Amino acid sequence: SMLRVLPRVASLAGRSILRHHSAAPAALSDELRKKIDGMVAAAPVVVFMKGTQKEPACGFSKNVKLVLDFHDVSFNDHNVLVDAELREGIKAYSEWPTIPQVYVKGEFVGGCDIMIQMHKDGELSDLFDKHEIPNKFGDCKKKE
Amino acid sequence: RWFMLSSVRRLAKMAAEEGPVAKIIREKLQARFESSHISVACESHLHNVPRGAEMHFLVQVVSEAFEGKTVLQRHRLVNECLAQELREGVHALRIDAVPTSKWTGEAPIESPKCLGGSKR
Repeated sequence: SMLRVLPRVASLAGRSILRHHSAAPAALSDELRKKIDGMVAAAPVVVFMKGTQKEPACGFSKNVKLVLDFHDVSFNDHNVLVDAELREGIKAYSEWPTIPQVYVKGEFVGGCDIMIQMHKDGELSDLFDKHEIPNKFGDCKKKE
Repeated sequence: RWFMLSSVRRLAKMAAEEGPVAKIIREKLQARFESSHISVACESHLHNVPRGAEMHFLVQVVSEAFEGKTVLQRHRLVNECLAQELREGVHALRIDAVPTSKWTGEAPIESPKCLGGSKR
């Protein structure tokens, strides 16, 4: 039905006026939305995780970091364990219920399962190449 | 030694028995995806949470509904189906959403080791 399609269109589009119909509006104030907008725009790859990239606190978050390290792709990390507001806010922002969450060039890509599947299917190199992010196994290489 | 053996047996039993949340998850997935194959495994015994907690799940669903969809779209469908459980207590959900045409009978990849989470 149309009612079920609308939120999905919004999440695929990434940003939309339909977003205010999302499941948990209370978790995402305008102020927090703007703050997260800034976070996902601040680097080509941004990961919301438990712990830090130096010390992941969760096996799923660590796996995401390992996949990105494997592809030699650097990223900004945000530790949701030290920021309860961000922990709930990012779930509402992405319309995604779990952590970790990976953004590439401001677009939500997925969590641990999706990153690993894309890595196995060779789709991660394609994604980084498409966004001109230097990566180890794709065509886009780091400039010497 | 008896204590260790009985703990191991208890853990194995917990992993094998299906709790109430696991049952609801299985029923909702079956109703929504009319799946030819579903497996639902509670993995909370692998994590830093109280015994009997049903907070971490691994679901594998094979369905026509996933045909022609990206992996992200498939996962969003499963998340939507289980939205209430995810709001109420399930805090990790591993998903293997397989279109029927791609189903090989392969079990999902093993989950990573718990590193402690928020109790570190």
